[in-house]
Amino acid sequence: MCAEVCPEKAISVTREFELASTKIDDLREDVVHDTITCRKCGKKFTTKKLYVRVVESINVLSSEIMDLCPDCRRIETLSKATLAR
Amino acid sequence: MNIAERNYSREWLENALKRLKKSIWVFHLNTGSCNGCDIEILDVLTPRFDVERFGIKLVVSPRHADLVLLTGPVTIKTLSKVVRALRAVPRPRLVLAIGSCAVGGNIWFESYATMGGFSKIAKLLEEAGVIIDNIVYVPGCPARPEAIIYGVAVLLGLVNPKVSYRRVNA
Repeated sequence: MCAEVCPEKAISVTREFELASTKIDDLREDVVHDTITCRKCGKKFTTKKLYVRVVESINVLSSEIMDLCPDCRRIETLSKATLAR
Repeated sequence: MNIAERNYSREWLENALKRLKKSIWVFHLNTGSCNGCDIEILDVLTPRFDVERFGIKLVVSPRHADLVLLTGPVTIKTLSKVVRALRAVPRPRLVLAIGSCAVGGNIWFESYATMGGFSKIAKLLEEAGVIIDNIVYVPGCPARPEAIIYGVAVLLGLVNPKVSYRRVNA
């Protein structure tokens, strides 16, 4: 079962079955997330929930590059490496 | 013009649907399903759940059927056959889209080899002149036998659907 092996324990099994509907839109569900904005370019690049989860679980990441979007992070890391030389 | 495609009045259709409260005959149409849902349909029809006591009976030709039990994400290869089979069903023409695949394509929702579920071909069928009088979507991977029976009850208007669109803040 997917629920047994889910590493994030995100799936739960129910005995609910009365889901039939005549309209397809009744079966849809939207989830609204807060986003994290890049410190440098102001682009929204990830959800707050995922950000907090990653920061909590991996503590070796430097806090300087964590609030940068993937593009700015690449530029920042490269410029730091070249300037250090 | 095909007799099944005649322009029936709304009144005629409502009368026909009113008469159709029990003993509906079903035709099983697999459109490229993994057979999970098909096994659940067999569970519904065989003595464990035994819907024949309600008069729901499996027929071998779409020409005899009131309701089409449609499973699978409607692959490109089966599309023409699906249209032909649905055209052969007499009016009022009812469809029960069973399983996540038939509802929205499931993991094949944007595959090049499938149409991505029955909801995506509804417009195509209309253009081809095949009018579907009522559709009920039964999600589940596979859909439980109880869910299929409940879907038939929703289709016949015996119970009201319980689900509605939701928007939640994470």
